[in-house]
Amino acid sequence: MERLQNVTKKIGKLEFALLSPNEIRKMSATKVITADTYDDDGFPITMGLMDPKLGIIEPGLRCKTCGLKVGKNGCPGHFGHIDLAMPVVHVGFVKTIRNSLRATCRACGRILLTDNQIKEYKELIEKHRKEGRDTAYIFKNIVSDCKSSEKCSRCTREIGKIELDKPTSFREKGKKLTPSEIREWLEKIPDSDIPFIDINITAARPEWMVLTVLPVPPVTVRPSVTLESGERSEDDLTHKLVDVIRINQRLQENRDAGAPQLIVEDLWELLQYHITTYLDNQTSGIPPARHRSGRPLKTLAQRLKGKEGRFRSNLSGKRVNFSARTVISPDPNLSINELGVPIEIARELTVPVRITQYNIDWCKQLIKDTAIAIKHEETYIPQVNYVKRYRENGIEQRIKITDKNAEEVAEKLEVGSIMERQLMNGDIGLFNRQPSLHRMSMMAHRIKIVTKKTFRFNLSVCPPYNADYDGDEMNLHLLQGEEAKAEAEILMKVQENILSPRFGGIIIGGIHDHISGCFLLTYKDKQFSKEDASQILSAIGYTAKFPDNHEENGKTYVYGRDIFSVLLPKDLSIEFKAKACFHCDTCKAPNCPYNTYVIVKKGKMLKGIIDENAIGAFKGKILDRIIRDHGSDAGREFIDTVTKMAIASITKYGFTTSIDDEDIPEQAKQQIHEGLEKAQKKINDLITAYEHNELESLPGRSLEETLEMEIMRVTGRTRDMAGEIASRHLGLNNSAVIMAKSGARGSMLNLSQMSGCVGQQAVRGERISRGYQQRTLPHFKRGDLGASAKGFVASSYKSGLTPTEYFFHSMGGREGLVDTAVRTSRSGYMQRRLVNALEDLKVESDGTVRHTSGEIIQFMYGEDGVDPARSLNGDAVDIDRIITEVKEE
Amino acid sequence: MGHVLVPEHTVLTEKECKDLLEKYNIKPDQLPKILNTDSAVMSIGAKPGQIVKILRKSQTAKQAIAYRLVVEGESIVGSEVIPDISMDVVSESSEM
Repeated sequence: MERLQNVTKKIGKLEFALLSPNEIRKMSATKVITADTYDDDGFPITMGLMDPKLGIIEPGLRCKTCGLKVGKNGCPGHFGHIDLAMPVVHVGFVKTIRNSLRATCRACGRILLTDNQIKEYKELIEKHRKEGRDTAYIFKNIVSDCKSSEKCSRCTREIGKIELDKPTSFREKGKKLTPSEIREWLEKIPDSDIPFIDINITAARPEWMVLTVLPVPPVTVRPSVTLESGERSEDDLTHKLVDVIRINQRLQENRDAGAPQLIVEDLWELLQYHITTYLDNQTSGIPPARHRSGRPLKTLAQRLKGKEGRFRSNLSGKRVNFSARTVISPDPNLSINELGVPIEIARELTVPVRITQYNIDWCKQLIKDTAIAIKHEETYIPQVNYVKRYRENGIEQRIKITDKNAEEVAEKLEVGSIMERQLMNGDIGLFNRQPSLHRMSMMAHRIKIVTKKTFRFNLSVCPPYNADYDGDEMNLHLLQGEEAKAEAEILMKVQENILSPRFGGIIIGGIHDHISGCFLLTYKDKQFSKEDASQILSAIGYTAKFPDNHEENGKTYVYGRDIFSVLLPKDLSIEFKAKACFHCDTCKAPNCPYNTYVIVKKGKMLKGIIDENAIGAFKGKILDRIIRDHGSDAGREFIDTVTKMAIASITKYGFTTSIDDEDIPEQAKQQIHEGLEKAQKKINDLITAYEHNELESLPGRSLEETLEMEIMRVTGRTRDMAGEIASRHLGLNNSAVIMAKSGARGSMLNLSQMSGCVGQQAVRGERISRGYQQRTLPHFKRGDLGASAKGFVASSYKSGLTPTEYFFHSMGGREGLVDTAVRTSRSGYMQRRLVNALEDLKVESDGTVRHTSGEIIQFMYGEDGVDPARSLNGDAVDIDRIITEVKEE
Repeated sequence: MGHVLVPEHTVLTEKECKDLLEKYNIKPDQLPKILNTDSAVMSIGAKPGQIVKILRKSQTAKQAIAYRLVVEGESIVGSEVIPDISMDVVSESSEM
């Protein structure tokens, strides 16, 4: 048996069938008649719900049916059964029952089709089956054909309309059908007609959908838990079965005693309720059965359904070994490929190493060192936890390494054994942050053992994981096989994922301070003294020729752009607009007066500013070019050094921002105030015009809409005006402005809201209009259409908001929060459906996209066969670049 | 046919069919399907079992070629193939 474990087998087909009453009785180990579980002494009652014949859950005991104990290869548990006093409809099959009743005659049980129709449908079904096409609609047509017939063509019985009262009762011509009547009816349907109601005769008979016997699942399926106090707590399923047995018993007694019809029917319905909730406790139309505490019971359907159900939680997803999770924090000194792993984690996780003749000496040494490592816990030396040996008979022997036996085991080490080694620098692991929305959410890192208790990685790797350091936790999975390690190294390493297949551009690059740093290094022809330049260069470990310098007033200076040029490959030539570009009406490109046009020739930066458009994640053009032309190794190198250089230069400059960065002079405040008053007047004029019916409506708009649009336009312009005035007084000597202009963080809009005016607040794209009768807040007159009554915030964040402004601002902010919450859940579900539809498509070596079964879905991947990760924003080739390059030659 | 929005459909000859199946190393039923009741198929008179070649405009590749196997569908006239959407949607979305 052991040896057969690795044989892969293919499942030919799966067939689902119904259990017949006979089958249920045949597989039953015992009939269950008592609703109790244990007697006063704590022993299970025979023919009760915990009968030892149904399997055992306590270790040491033996099953009364198979004689096995608990555990692997032990007793799997055995089904029992309950004989129901009266038949009951199975909720899971009500729709099939309804269709069966609609499609057949109550008197003769035949299908309500003419012989001709039967023949036609038979052929149609066979043809569809042969071609592997969906047959569902045919059966729908059969039912609707049958429904429309008035009389049975065979026995001339009139056909009544069948209605289904959710969830489980049926009516024929308005008269209620009891489950017994339904069962009798379904029994009459001849085998020959069954294929026409979409039932496979080898799998089921329709009357089996009305239960007469209820299988009782083994106790192993519903184990009872003994609490610390010695009390027993039963599983939800057991609770529900107790209800079923109790009512079943009462029903039987009442019926046998000849109780009035009404009482019997009531009990019958109660039994139906209990069995329905036993099968599915979320059946619509009936209240869910509840625990004493008020918690709804988790019955059969709930065990399987949904995200926490058996399929999604236990079968598609499983817990894994060789994984770790902890809080993340930044470490700018690590390469983007590296990951700092705490010693505590490194000691816990292991990697298997197969001993070969090539590594045996190294392995021996490692095992010997284990003895030393155990004694010296403070410095990290990887230990060997286990050595696994394989004897000739295939039996595996695991030896735990201790400081005592290390020497001995090392000497006896043989080729072919496997040792389980703790983590070492350079091991490869998969690092992941949920939600894993794209493939860059899981990348391979080289492990570096560090002290302290967090995972640490380079800041540039935050965007692909969408991580920040406000308490985020991330997972690490260690690779256990050589193939896995090689594959991860080639395909999943961070440097191989700098280019994103989402948009064919870089997703990893400089962020925040990296961008501000480069900006400070290069803007306004910035120059550094030789000493400062040397310090910046030494931060990146630069040892080659010192960059070009010049003398001024007897001191040696180096241009910032020349320091930056040190990082560029010697053959790099590129021109582009920096993020700080002013987008002038007529661009004087190469001779930009603001020096925002970047020119790099032959690896030397001649003009411009390095900012987000040069090195930033998602946008950096220089970085993008380096990766495409020089490969991922050069890309990694560039990111590592450019970030270090940026940090060094920003440290040199000293960079900070605070609330007084948003200070503007009194005179500017006055100007803004005047502007606001002007706008106020304009809005009042508009309102008066509207009230006097003098307002001219825009095409396709009502007067009210026109007024709203005009006012929105005025308020929008007012905010821009305030921002414009404010930004006139916020120059590049202001840190917040540097961040906004370079694209490191924030925008000019944020700044103008802080120092100028916050502007119009909107809910659903309109001015705020809800609240009290005809007014937003009791502070205003009814029908007030003015700016401040409808959510215009004239104050700035710095000056502070008035109470009403604050309230409106909160309304706008709340809408944003709600939107994000709704969007994430919606897009998550949409993504799930997409993944389920596309998960087993694959690009074959001939360029076709095929399903696992070999059907072709697309004849050429993406119709052009281009790998989006290698594309240039989606295009296969960059024609413009080729043209400029050819021209230059 | 001939409308800008209708891609060009042509029936493959026996020889072309054989070459196509050989090129992709497939059986005809591994191709995408198209109903013989499809307006474009009817207008070029392709019969079930034949393969049609479809030349489409493509955003990425300017022009993309697709092949489809014509299969027999029920005639649209006289049969109701309107699925009972309301019920299915309710039961499926409850999965959320």
